[in-house]
Amino acid sequence: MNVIRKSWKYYKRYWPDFLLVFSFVFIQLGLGILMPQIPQLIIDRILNPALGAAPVYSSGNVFSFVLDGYAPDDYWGMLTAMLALMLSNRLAFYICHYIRWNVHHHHLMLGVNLMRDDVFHKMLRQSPLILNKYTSGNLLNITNNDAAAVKEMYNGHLFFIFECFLNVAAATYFLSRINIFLMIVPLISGSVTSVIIVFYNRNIRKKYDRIRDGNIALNSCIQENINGVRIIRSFATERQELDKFERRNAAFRDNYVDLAKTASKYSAIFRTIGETMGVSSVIIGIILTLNGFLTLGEFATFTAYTNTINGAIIGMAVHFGNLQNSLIAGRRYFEFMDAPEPVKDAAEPLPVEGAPSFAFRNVSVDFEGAPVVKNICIDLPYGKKLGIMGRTGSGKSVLLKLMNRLYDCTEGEITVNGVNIKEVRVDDLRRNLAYVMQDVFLFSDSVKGNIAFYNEEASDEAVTAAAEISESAQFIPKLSDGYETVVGERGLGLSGGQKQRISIARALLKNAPVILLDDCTSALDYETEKKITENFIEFLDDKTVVKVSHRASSVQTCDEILFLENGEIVERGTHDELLALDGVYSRIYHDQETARQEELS
Amino acid sequence: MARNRYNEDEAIKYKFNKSSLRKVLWYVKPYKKTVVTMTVLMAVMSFVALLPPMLNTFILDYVATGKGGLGLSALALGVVIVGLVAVAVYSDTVFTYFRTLFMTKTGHSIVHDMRFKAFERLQKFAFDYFDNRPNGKILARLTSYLDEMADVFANSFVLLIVDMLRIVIILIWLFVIDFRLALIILAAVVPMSFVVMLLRTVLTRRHRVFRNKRSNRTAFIAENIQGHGVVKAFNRIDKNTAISSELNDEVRKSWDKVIRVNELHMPVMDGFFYIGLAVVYVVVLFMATGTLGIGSLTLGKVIGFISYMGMISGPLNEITSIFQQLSRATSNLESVFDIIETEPTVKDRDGAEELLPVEGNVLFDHVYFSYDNSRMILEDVSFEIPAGRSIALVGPTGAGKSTVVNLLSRFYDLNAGRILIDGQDIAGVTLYSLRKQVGVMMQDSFIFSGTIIENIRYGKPDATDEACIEAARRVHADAFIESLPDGYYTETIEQGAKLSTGERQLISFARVILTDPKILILDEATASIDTHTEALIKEALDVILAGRTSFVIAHRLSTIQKSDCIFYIANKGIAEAGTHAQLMEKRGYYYKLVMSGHKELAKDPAAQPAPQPVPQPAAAAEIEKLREVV
Repeated sequence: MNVIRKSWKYYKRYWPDFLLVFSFVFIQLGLGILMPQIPQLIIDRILNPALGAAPVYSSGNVFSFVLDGYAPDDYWGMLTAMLALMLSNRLAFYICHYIRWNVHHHHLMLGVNLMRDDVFHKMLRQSPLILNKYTSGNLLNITNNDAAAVKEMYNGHLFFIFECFLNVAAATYFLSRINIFLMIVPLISGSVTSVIIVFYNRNIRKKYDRIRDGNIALNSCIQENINGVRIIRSFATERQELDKFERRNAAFRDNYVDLAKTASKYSAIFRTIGETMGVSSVIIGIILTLNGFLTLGEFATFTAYTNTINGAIIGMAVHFGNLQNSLIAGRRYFEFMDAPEPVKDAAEPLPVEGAPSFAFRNVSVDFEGAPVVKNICIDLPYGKKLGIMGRTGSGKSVLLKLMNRLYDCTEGEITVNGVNIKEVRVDDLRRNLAYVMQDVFLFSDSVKGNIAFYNEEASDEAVTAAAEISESAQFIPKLSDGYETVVGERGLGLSGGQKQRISIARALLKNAPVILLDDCTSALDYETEKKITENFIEFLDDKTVVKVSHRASSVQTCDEILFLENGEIVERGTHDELLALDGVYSRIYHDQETARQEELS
Repeated sequence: MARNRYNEDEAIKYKFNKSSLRKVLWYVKPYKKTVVTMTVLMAVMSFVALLPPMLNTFILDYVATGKGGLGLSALALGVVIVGLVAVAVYSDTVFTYFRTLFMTKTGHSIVHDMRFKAFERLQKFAFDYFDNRPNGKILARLTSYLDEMADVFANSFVLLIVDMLRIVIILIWLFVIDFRLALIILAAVVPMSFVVMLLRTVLTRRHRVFRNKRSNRTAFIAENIQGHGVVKAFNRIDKNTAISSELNDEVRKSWDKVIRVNELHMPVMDGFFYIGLAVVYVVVLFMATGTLGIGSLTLGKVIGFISYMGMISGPLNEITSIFQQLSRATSNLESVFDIIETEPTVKDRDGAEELLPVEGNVLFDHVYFSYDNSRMILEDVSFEIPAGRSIALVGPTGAGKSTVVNLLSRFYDLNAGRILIDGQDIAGVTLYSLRKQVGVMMQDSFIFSGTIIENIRYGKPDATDEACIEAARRVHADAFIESLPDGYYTETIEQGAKLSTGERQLISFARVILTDPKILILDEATASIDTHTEALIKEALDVILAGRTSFVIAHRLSTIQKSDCIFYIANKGIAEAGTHAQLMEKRGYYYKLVMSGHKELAKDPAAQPAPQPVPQPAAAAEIEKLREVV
């Protein structure tokens, strides 16, 4: 019920349209339920008398009055009236049907799109720490499929259940008009069915849960296979991958078979109940007719309505089962939507004004109890150049991510212009930072589109300028369509160095006052790296630069160099101070220096 | 081929035609027995399902009137008939139970088989297939589109056959009752079928558009999940949500168009039926009044005829919805068959042989290569490397260093020339046997979900834990792995999101070392590894490379100095080759490269101008300023 309540929020705004749909449902229902009345009259009042029998006047028939104006032997007049009634009933039915479903689907899609927009926005806002707990297959399921499954509830299940219910009620009512005792059997079977539906729901929910998990496992497996295609080809592990896939593929099939087992078992039960009802109704009908309580026409009508009720009860049971799938999807969807966002704007977020000066005050971060960085203090006045070095996994990248508020520190605080960054608007904070990540991610868009990612309206000149500073300008024109070349997802089709340079250009075009460079030249040759470094010195002169690197040569000109080990700053100072300290930095610097000298010799 | 992106509809070359139907039947074939049995049983059951209304006629004519018949009193006849009805309906229920079970299994088995085929084909594609379209679009074809078809295979085919059979039987029965009335019904069926076929053509076309729009959306969402960090860092959260919203809207619009045609089915099919019914009433009245002198009917026959006619509407409605489903299925099948029918660009030749265990002699014989057949990357490259030598590849980014080694693993086929390993042309051996003997450590270090040790074992599934740990030790990955909470058994999530880039590289390195290849390619293997570990690896490298032919691409020149030979790749080929000492002597490209690194090192840090805080100028002006200087 929670899911229905929460999802209804998205559909609520279309209530007048759904009301229209509902009224059409009612009209259709009415039109449908009235249909059997017409042949009854045609038989009892027209064809039967025309064949020589006496006309039967059934008081229960709603259309009797139409024929009352005709002479009893005006068969053609009456038939014309009845056929006109029948065909106009159908015509009205079709018009309702067509408008109803068009309006319905249109607004269902509008509603589901609102849900999709919301979950997509949430996914982008959500902290990587939380997103990392999901496999990408799961995330894709939540953002791409769950909303659609919830939609099915409004598409079919709820409506059908309602429709079935109305059908039962209306048919029962018409039965009671013929003879009150005819209601008894449908009432009994209806109540037995509703008890069983409760058990059915509970059982079927578990099956749907399994299916959803299996689906995610299969999707993740395929996605991983596509993403890892380079490794798979190089290790020639296609068979292995096929086995891995096949296990999930087979499980996926088996889950559905399992579902079918439960569903068809219950469906058989529901049908048996319905059929027992049908058979006993016929018996009752015969007895009543034989005893003169029913006319032949009424008996035919009675059988038709019993069938309607029978079908509606079975339908209701099936739709209750299907509803469970929507409810499960909805639960996962809202679990994700309602999860707290560790990183979000404060109630009254402050803007970042003027040139930003950052500072780390005793910053520590734990990931699930494991300390990642400890007690970091850094002053980063505007314009300062900071170099960060350290072992693999020592927490260098974490510091940059903290500044971006990709996640927050567990202790201490990071301030910008003296204000805790948690107090400023996240968007404002990030506008002040141009971040070149260690892992290059490019989008399946043109080179130009990737460079102008921050500002799509950037002029061609600006894009070229950014490309020039990042030393991409020399290779981009040589690509098949120059700046318009579409690069594959993750920048496939480009070399590692080319991707890195495009990602640098992308950050440059953001033109933020603070630039964060996370080991972003590792795949570049010396010459290019040197040129980029020179360009940076020239163009980023007035900006704050934080540079993570493994090469002493690329940080040695910085105003301050930090050396991290296991998340702690073990050495800090200028290049000269660190050399004087004769610690790790100095050793690395000399090692690299010696290596260089050897190259020259 | 131009690369596809999320906001462009993908052109699916495969179009459904008559031969596709044969292909579909090929997938149905293994389940022939079930399908045929079920179809026959269903046909029988449709006869049984016809019983109750037929018996109702009996009830109306003989029981309810109190007449009785067949030598029985009305009541006795009633008991017999009701008994028969009960048997009919209950056996129908039992049958339906088994049918649902078996046909669901069949439907999902067929989907399973198709998915397997598609995935198997996917394993054969070279990189170009994956580079040319967003991952999400491939994924959607193997998942949602296929999933939607299980029901078609499970029910639609069988139901279609049975429903048509049912209609034929009902028609025959109607003919038996009164052929004149039956002809009227038949006359309505012909134009109806024509209109339905027309609807189907239009609908399939609209479903294709709908499918493409969905693919676009899936691609965009999948890409944003992968790159959410970049989206955040570049303040694109709202902007990308707007794009996603726009893609959603396109899906909706294409769906609206589907619905507009789809919902015409019911009025068309049902409409023809009721027009036929109206005509029947008119003719019956003609008969009853004897106006036309075309004979007469009993009331029982009339009611029987009309109730049998009514039974057509059941299968008719079902056929309607099957037709609606089939239009969608056709479009979905096209996207799946498009994968299955696409030939991989790189594949085993007919009669390809196993590459015999190699020593590691590598020969490039007048190799020409281009990625797009227009711009040559390598032109007339020839060299020979005796087994066991180490070769370093240097040169500007994008010059083709990675290309050279990619060709050796036959990730791409040559435009001209040959590559021989121990005298065997790699184009003539199986890809499997080739790639098992050429170990590559790629620039992208991809980590699979699973434990660390599983990732190390990836290329050699039968390796013991000890062997894996030893491999990690050899590349000095042991220190960081042991510091993880569960050591080698730490679960990494997809793409190693919790590991740093350097750590991922170390794992990938161990993974390659474990396979113990005769030819080893290290493409920027240590780029993101810290200097300390790199230094350790460098020392270990001598041991690692001993006895193997190796190709090392590295930008850190210190890694490659000891190589037996250094190739400087530029200008579509090997511009310079020789040992470090020889090339330094030569004072060519390589010398320049080395010296450029050196100069940077020598730069005086004190020469830096002091930082001055300045207000932020507008982006465009700033870049304009930069450009002038550049």
